[in-house]
Amino acid sequence: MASLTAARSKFSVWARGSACGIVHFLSSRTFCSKGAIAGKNIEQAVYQETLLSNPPLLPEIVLNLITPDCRLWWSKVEATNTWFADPFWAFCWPGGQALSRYILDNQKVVKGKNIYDVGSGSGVCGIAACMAGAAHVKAFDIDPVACKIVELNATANKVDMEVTCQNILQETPDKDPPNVILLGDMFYDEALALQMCHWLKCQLENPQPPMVLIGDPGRWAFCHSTHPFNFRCVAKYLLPPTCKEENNGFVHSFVWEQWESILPQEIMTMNVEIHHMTKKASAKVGQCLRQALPSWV
Amino acid sequence: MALRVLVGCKRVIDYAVRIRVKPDKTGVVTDGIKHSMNPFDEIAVEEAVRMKEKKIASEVIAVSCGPMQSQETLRTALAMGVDRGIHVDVSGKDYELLQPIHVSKILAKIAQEEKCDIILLGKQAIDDDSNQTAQMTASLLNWPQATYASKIEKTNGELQVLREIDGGLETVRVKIPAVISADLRLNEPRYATLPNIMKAKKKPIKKVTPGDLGVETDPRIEILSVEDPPERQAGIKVEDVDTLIAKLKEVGRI
Ligand SMILES: C[S@@+](CC[C@H](N)C(=O)[O-])C[C@H]1O[C@@H](n2cnc3c(N)ncnc32)[C@H](O)[C@@H]1O
Repeated sequence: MASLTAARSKFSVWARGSACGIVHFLSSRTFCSKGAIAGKNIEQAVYQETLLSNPPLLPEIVLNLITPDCRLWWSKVEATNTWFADPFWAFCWPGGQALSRYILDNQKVVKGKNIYDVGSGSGVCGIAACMAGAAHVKAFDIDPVACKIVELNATANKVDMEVTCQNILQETPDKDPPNVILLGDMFYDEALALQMCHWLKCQLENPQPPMVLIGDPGRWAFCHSTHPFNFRCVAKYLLPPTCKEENNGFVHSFVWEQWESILPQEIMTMNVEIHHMTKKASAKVGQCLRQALPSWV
Repeated sequence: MALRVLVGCKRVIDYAVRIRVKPDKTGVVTDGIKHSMNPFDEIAVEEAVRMKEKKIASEVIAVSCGPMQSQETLRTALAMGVDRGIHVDVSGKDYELLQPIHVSKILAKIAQEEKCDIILLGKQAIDDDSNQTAQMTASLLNWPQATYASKIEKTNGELQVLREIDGGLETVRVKIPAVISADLRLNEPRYATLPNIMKAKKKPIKKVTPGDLGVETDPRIEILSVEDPPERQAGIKVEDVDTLIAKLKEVGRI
């Protein structure tokens, strides 16, 4: 497994330029579309349908992603392979990309801390936290395929993290809560956003409440949720063209953190536009986000 | 100030399908026929999404009036970048006799309820070719209208619209709120790819009935008969220009 990933890693470095040919070559292999969420089958399917590539905002991270060079990107119909029915993990969502960029550029936010990446998808935020020196990272995703992918992606990035399929939103808060909760693009669905806000509220009632960091491009459910506390915007990134194509209607992605947290001292820029929000310019989320957004977006 | 845009999208028989009239002449065959979004509405949706990407619009809402399947049309709009959808449920006989006046009333009501600043519609639907909805919606709301738009620009608080008219192009300026209808050359709609289709499945669609909106959809017309256009007669081939002239004289064309 490790050698397979390593080989692919090298492969994809030069493959990116002529990826069409590679995909064609890969799709000539056969694979079985049924079977357990473990072992060779899923790896082979992932190998066949995705490319190990860098999310546009994250040149230091590689993930198994469906890119414009992959067959599925262009398919209108649902994938017949059950692993690829709604493959949320096969895309690095703009919220997750912004949050990961922010973590990598502001490592002290996670350094030495216990981290939960809730709704990990590809595992991108958790991987960024590991790279930034988190003490322990636990990724949560209710999709068993996503959990398997997180393992593959962690290995590809040579980091160690715990992955679980348990639905943490339905559990009572841990006695031993994390220091930081990462939410990469978890407000894409109205019902889930509602559940998430309720869960966050419980977390924050803990005597030692965690810090919450949210990455979101301005999704409707995020802007219209009644959040349990105020957030402020700590980073704004311009989405690179490929990321924009994947997210029709969005041009930026934002990172939000709890109002009380300390502002990061330094923010590095890497081909991205980052607006360091001052206290004056930052927006309060909650009921007033809608009015507040246009003033600085 | 960022604006809220309402776009209309009608589910119609796909433009590439050969239309067949029902044997009883009450309408055209729709069962099992491929449907898609009215192409002019696709252009309107594209323009609204571009307004959002240019930060002219803060939110784009799509509306479709029709049976359950209209939600598929809304999903296409959502995949193109619209934020949320409203499905106005009209089906069966009611839908067959739904007229632009009804749709205009529905759109006007929704625009008011949702506090929209711009209504963007296709200039006409390719199934009934009515070309009335935008005009009537503007009239019901008493908003200015700019129809057959081939270019829309925002200039402080107003919209400058290039219109396609018979003699060429006309530039008009309208105050906001306004109703705009899209012509063919306004833009080229984007193709919805998997990542966008996937995300669109999770975007909210609210279902309402015309009754919820306080709009009556009682039919105002009665369809007497739907017929195929007369078949074109086969032509003839002529040997040379002289015979052509002779033939044209014979049939009284010259
Ligand atoms: C929009 S994706 C975000 C993935 C990743 N954080 C990123 O930004 O690229 C959301 C993920 O959350 C997962 N999810 C949905 N509900 C969940 C829940 N209750 N607990 C944990 N994960 C959940 C989905 O399976 C999906 O993989």
